[in-house]
Amino acid sequence: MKRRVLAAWTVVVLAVLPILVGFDPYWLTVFTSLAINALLGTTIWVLFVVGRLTLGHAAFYGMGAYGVSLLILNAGWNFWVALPVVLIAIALVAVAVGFPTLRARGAYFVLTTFAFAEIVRLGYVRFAHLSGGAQGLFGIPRPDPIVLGGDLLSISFSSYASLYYLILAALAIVSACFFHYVNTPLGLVLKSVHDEPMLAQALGINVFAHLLVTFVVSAVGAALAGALYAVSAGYIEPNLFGIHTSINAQAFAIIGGIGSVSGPIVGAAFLTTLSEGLHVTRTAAPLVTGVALIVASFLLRGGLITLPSRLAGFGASKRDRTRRSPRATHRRRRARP
Amino acid sequence: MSDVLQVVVYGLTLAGLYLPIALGLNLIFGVMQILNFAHGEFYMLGALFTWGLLSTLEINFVAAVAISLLLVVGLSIVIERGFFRPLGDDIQRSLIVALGLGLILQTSVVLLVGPDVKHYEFPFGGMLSTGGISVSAEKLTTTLLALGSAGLFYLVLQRTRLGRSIRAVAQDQQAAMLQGINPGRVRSVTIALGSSLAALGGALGGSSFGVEPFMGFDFLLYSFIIIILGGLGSMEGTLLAGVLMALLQSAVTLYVGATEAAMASFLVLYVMLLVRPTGLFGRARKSLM
Repeated sequence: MKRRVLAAWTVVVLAVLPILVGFDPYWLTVFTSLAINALLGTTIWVLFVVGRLTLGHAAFYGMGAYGVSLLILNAGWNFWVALPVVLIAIALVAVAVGFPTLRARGAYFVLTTFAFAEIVRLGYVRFAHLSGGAQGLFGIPRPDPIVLGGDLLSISFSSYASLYYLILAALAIVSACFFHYVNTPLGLVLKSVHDEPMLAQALGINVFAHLLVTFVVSAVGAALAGALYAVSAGYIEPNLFGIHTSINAQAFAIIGGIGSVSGPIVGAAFLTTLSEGLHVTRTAAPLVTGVALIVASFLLRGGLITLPSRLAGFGASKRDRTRRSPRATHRRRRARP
Repeated sequence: MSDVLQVVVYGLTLAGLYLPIALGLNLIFGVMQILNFAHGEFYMLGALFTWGLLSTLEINFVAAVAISLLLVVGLSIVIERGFFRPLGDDIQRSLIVALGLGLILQTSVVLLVGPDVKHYEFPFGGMLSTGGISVSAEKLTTTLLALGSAGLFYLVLQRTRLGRSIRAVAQDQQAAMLQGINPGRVRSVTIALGSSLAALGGALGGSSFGVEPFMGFDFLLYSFIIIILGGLGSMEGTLLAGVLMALLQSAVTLYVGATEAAMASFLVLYVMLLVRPTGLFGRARKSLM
């Protein structure tokens, strides 16, 4: 219950942020990238629930961005038609990638997703006649207005604020869906897949099917984030979808904390505003991410979302503080001989 | 016929680039359950230190390579003790830490030395050509050295007492400890061996390709593909898959193109995972991560 309240508050805070800065265009672009990063981080989090770590989400993020942009620019499609078509296509790609890799051990999955993302990135450069090559694609238009009848009942996405709220709505919907995915009886099955794959299998749970469905759902979420990135930035190029994007996506989830659905949102907010606040150049940004990842791994297990309870409950036992984190369960399992 | 020879010769030079990294990576995974994404940085630092020593101190090439190997080995032992050892066999956390360290090392080099490509000379140049194929003396020497060191590394693992204790820890740490093997020492030796191979590869490769902060990355990608193909934890698999992958890439590069070669290698990986998920020589293990 507490986590649901926390998640709702996170979204409320994100919704009032533009009012606090007086709808300043600069800060609105920062918040837009924050919300897209949070969406990407959330898709990483849902995979952590079943105990898988991917280094390939830049591929799905990039395919979402390229797919929607190409359909809009080359075929003249409406954004709202192109988006579902691209998401369905990417779901099929995710099935094809997940099918052989999820059967093997976790390490094979990490390495294969990593290799897949790199090959996809090379593909953008190779098939330049289609994708614009290393120069990328320019002039991707904003999402088409939603016309429900009359001027009063239509929503246009021409302003920074309206675009931000569109992305925030996507983030809220995806987070809510993932939250319910994890916190229903199905979620208990997913946890068993993470904690005791052998036992779950023995109880008749189809571990592989649950892994595959979660992977596909997560990949489609990443593709949605990519499509929204393309229409909000208006420009994409292959290097935006390299290994650094996959690492950043991990960083949002891990630094924020994988114990709760609001973790990736907090992590994305922290890293995005930290880079802006410190005026870190694009060259130096990986240094910040790297240091934050190592700090989170050693000093702040459970991520930033555990910080308030850590500060409040120094007297409480360590087990209480880390009880919610899936990793804590994982650790207990490993501790047994 | 000369076409085929050219493919083989170019393939062997590629194998000389991939194998030193792939063998070290696979051994580190076998002993410590770490997917060392910072391994490409050892390769890069081997080349960078060699360049730095040659351009500032103007010492002998062999001495520069030897000193940079020692520097990289020292750094790798510090990283293993300070960052990897406290994490035990938690594969996800050590992977995250390795990624973080890789980012820090790479970006520090960009900020301190600059992102531009730096060059240094190999001690002897010139071209050797026989029977319609030609290869530079530099390429030939570096390839032979790289393949030789990879072979030596394999022999050390198979034939010496040290190699036996490393393999024992990789197989079963508890049983190895019962035989009086100190796993901490084995971990240090393993990362030292792995990083010195990578650094040697970098110091030799840096003279032909130039030195830049992101140079380790491509080799890391192919090395990971090779060790999955060969099977995680299997040195024989890595040797065989490395040579096969290099020959495949060389053939596709010469007849079609470099990007297609990368795609072909991924396709092979994909088919291998469908047909035989544990790789050529890999064995199914209990842990699912």
